Amino acid sequence: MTSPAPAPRAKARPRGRGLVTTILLLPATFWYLVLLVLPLLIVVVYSFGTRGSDGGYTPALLLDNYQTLFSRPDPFILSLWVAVTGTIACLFIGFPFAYFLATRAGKRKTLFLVLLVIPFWTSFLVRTIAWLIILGPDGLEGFIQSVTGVDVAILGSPWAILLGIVYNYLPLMVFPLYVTLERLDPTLLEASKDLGASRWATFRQITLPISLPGLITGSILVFIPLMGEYVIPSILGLGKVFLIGNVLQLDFLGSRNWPAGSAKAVTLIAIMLISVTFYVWTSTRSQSGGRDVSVL
Amino acid sequence: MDEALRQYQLDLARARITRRRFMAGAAMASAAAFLAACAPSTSSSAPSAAPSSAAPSQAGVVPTTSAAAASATAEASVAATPVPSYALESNMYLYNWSDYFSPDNLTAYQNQFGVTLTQVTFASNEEMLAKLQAGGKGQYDIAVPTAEFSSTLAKGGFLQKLDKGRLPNLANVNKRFLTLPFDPNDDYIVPKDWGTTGIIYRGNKMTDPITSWKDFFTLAKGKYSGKTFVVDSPGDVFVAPLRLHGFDVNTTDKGELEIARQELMALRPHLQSIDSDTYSTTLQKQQAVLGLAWNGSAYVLQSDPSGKYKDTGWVIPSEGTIFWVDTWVLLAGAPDPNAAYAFLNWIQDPAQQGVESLYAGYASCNDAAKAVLPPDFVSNPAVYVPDDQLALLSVATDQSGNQQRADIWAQFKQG
Repeated sequence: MTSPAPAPRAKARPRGRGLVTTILLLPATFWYLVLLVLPLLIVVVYSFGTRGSDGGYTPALLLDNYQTLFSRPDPFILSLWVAVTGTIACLFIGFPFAYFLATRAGKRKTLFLVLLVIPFWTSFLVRTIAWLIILGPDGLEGFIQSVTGVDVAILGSPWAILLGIVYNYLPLMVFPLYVTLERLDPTLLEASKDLGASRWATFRQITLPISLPGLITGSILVFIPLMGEYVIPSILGLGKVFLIGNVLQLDFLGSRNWPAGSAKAVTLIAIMLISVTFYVWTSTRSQSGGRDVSVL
Repeated sequence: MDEALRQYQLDLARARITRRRFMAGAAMASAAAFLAACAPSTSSSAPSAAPSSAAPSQAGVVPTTSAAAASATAEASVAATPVPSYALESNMYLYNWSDYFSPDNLTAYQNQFGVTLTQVTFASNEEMLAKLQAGGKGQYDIAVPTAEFSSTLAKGGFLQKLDKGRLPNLANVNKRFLTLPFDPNDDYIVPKDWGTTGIIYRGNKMTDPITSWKDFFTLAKGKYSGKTFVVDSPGDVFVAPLRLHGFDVNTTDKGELEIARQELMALRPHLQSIDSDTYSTTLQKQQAVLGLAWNGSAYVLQSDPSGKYKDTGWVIPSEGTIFWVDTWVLLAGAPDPNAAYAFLNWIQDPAQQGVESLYAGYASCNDAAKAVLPPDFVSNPAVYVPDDQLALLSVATDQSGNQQRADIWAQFKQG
């Protein structure tokens, strides 16, 4: 076990393999270049321009859009806050559920998974508007009113928005976690208990590190869409919560100021890249060979 | 032993989970996200595969049964719309506000002409313009912009000049809505209906007298704080603070707009919602009892068959407000022009106009229709503005390009 592994022998590649590989990669490469990289480049170029007289884009090379952006960073900060709290909430609710599914659900596993996915068979908007009814005066607010006589406003508060977010994004957190936790060998836990570790120590030293890849994937799958999310806060916040998505909507569909919207989009992408990289780096730093954790 | 355990852990973490199993998990999660994304979204997506059959030669030749249908549906005293003698396409695409076209009329049109009418919706003039600019040309036949946007659309080359010879029913339209400053020769627009922006309230809960924008601001910030809403439309919301101080609704003066901004920001914390789509429900449930909105919903609530919302009131503020005219326009590159012309003419028939007015609660621009509408509708001040108040109404122009207004609106939305 301590002797170094022998250097892998270079496999002899039959001729023609290179061509097949290239052809197989062609559709994906085309997709990435033309439908991802190119539009992103266009957005970056637009972000330096100015608004046309009737809306749209006029070529220019100005930093004005970025300057106005940094003078008014509130929507970004709020979006970041919503994304972080939403991810943490999904984590706190999703992890126990995934753990339960992986270790204790047994025969009912598939049933629970199906129940988790069924809401996704309806329209996303319908699901969110349903919460308007559940939380509104015909629902929870009305119930509290009738029982305590107090006029409470749940809709429009951050709690309603958090509820809507967790409801819509929970499966994205649960699935990667479940898949990772399923590999958890129960004998490890037994061994840990036998060796005298407390439950918390077992969790911290055995379960958590094993679930880390799933945790990272789930968090990223939830965090990234949440940064751009604006429909749920718009509906459940009764139009009073103003996030990056709302700003982009106003810029592109309202004042039709494409350069300003592009600048905000570029900033949003940059923020996401930085935060995700930082998150992955800190999470896998402790593992030796952490660079082996393939996240995407 | 610890070494081995740690190694085992790392192997698990590295080898099996990070590759195959965990890709499976990510795939499952992505499938869920994909399902969510592919679930049908409500508004404003161009009809996907259908418009490829744009060739008008793909005819629905006018079926003979429609002649009988035409006489059957004409209940008005005016002569029925003649069935067009040219070949109709099989589809027609209408780009409209949501809840702004009577479903009865939709069915009637489909039955009469044998054309499938597909409606796609937008939430604001700006959104419609943005979508057309972004490549919506050739996707729709008829759109419903507010009159002041029609000149922007015409300038951008999005509209077709109308062939008046194919629209004999235009004679029914009240002259006041023709030759508007936005389209002096009526080359492009067919007036649909007109309405006003004003103050709506529930009379059984909102019992204070209210006649002006001043009252509105005072009550909204005071007694009815948390029970007031405004529509999510900058062109309408700006009217309140500007008219409150006697400024022109179309002003671009920096000082005047700054004063408007302060008024709006002072109002902002007291709002229950900023919403154009569900405020009717909000009023029904009395989550809000006072609001800045459009007059159509006032009539619809008042005349609700259940009778529960009869107390809905409507006020044209004494400082003045705007009236607006919504128009039908024929879009450039329309894939189904014949069906579109048939529609534009047919919709100005008093029978159809009557159905439209009663459905949306807005006053028709069509005089022949006014003659056949029920008298309590015509005399309702929430629908047809009384003559003594007409002087209070001014026309708004398209200010969506004004950067200061855009900034103020963004700040207002943010709170």
